[in-house]
Amino acid sequence: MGRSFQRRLRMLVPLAEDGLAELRAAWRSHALTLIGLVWGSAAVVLLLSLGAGFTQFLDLGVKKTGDRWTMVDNRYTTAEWGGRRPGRRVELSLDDLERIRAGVPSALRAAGEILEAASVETEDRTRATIVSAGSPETRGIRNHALRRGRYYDDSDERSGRRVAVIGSDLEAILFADGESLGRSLQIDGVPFEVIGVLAPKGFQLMTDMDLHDREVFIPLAAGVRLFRSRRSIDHVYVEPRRIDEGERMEGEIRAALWPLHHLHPEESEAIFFESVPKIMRPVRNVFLALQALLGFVGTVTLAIAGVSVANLMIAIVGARRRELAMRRACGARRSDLLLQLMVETLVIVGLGGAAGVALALIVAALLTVAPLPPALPAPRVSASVLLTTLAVLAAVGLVAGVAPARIAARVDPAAALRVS
Amino acid sequence: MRGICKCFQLGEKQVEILHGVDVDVFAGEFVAIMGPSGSGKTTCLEILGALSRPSQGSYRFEGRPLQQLDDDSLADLRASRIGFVFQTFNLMPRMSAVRNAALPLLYAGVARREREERARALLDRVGLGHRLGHRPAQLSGGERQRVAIARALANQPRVILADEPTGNLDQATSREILELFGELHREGCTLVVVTHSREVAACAERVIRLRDGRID
Repeated sequence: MGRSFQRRLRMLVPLAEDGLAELRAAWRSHALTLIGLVWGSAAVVLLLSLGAGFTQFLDLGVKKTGDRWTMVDNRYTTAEWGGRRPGRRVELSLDDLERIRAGVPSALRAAGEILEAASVETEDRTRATIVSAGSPETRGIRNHALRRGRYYDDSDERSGRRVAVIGSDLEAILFADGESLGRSLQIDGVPFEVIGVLAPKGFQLMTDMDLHDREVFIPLAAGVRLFRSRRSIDHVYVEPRRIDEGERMEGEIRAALWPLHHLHPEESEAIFFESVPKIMRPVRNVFLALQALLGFVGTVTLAIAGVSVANLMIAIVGARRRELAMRRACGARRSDLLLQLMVETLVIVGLGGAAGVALALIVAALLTVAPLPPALPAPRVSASVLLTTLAVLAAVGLVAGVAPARIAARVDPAAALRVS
Repeated sequence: MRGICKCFQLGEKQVEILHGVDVDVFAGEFVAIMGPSGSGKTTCLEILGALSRPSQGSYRFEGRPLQQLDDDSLADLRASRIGFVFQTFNLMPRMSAVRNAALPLLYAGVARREREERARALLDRVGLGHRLGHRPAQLSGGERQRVAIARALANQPRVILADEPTGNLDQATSREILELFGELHREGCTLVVVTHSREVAACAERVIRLRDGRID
């Protein structure tokens, strides 16, 4: 067994060299097949990379916006309850935020938020934008990363200090010299001190799209005072202690808020939940299905090239019957010829595949630097994409090699004499 | 070989090429097989070289019955005990003389360096030490046949079977090849040569004549 394995091992390199020599000598007749292989393997890499790019885009987009939170939002009642008619508007308040913090054990943290459109001014510039007034916990829940300065904290919130953290694009718009820290800006005429600048997020999923980089973030208490007409908050972000406790947390929020707002136990509109993990589950499935579909299309393209390889190899076996018979006369076993044809097929598939992968890498690199729209991700050539392509290429090579190899193995050694 | 019959299926018709042929070849002999075209000379050589199985009869090689051997064992026997020389040389066109001569060593499981060393030595012996890297297309007919003889000798076989080894060569080159065969014979190698040539047959110790699939 060991000796036989060693014998086969010693054959591999010379047989691969024979395959390369055949390819060099007859490259014209192999050209179309090679082009098919280059195209097929480039298609597999690019389509899989595109699928991976979409998935990464999704993951990154969710990560930017925070991937664990549930938003508690409010609308109108749909059912009569306790003598109160349906169609009543329910408004969330700071008390609701405190009730969630105190009465929902599954919640790790909660943050209230008010969103208002406002005019923001510096000494010489004005810009209409969105102001987000939120609890300090917003930073962690919504994954706000700082570029410079600091984020407002509990002390700022408690004292209602008028401080602001601004998006990086907004800083560039409002402060010509690019230095905003410690300087003042006015929101609807009320002065705020800039204490921090957020790192850019670019396009993000779920909320705000790409507005984040142009927003102003201020403490919730300052926001309540700023927007005096507001007696309510827009929504509450709640993050569960564990990502799989979202359902349980929603149940606990219902138990805490429903009786106080006199809501029917089955009411699901007046106060409702939007959970990132829950929304993302079907979206992720769609992306996975898309990735599988793209991979399938690429694989079919390569498989068609594989058929061409099989045809080419069958023709080669026919043309080389004399040589194969001669090898048998020199002591080659049937399995040696089987191995030879498999190796030669894999050499052709390997070369075509390598060229295709190289082409795909170039195209992917060009697409990465190309100015694509923000919602169109560039292909992502990962190790798993390359390994999958390698596996598909190996499978195509092996399947394409089987038929010609079996024909070669059946060559009668006596043919070496008869044709002579 | 005892009572060897060999049949081929040609469409629906079965054609018997050899009809109960008895042949003995002794170690160290130089035997020529002669006969007109279609007499079964090549078929006889196929069976002697374990390239083909007889339809009937028994064949012992070095006292060992070959009927029971499976396909792989016959291949191993060819790799280790038998060398072939063909009229049309049957060299691999893309390979150098060294790689052609080393081919049987590949199937015998010999390591690369040893394969090349042995092939170089054999080519040197047949007078082609200066043509090692040449491909068949770059060699003359006589040189090609010398490469084929080097290849046949690669595994130091007991028997060399040759099918019209001088059939494609001019007279002068034929004589050189026959001298080489004579040398191998003197060294103790068993030679069986199928030929139409009286000159070749004259070099042999014994001539077996076949006619219509029977010993004449």
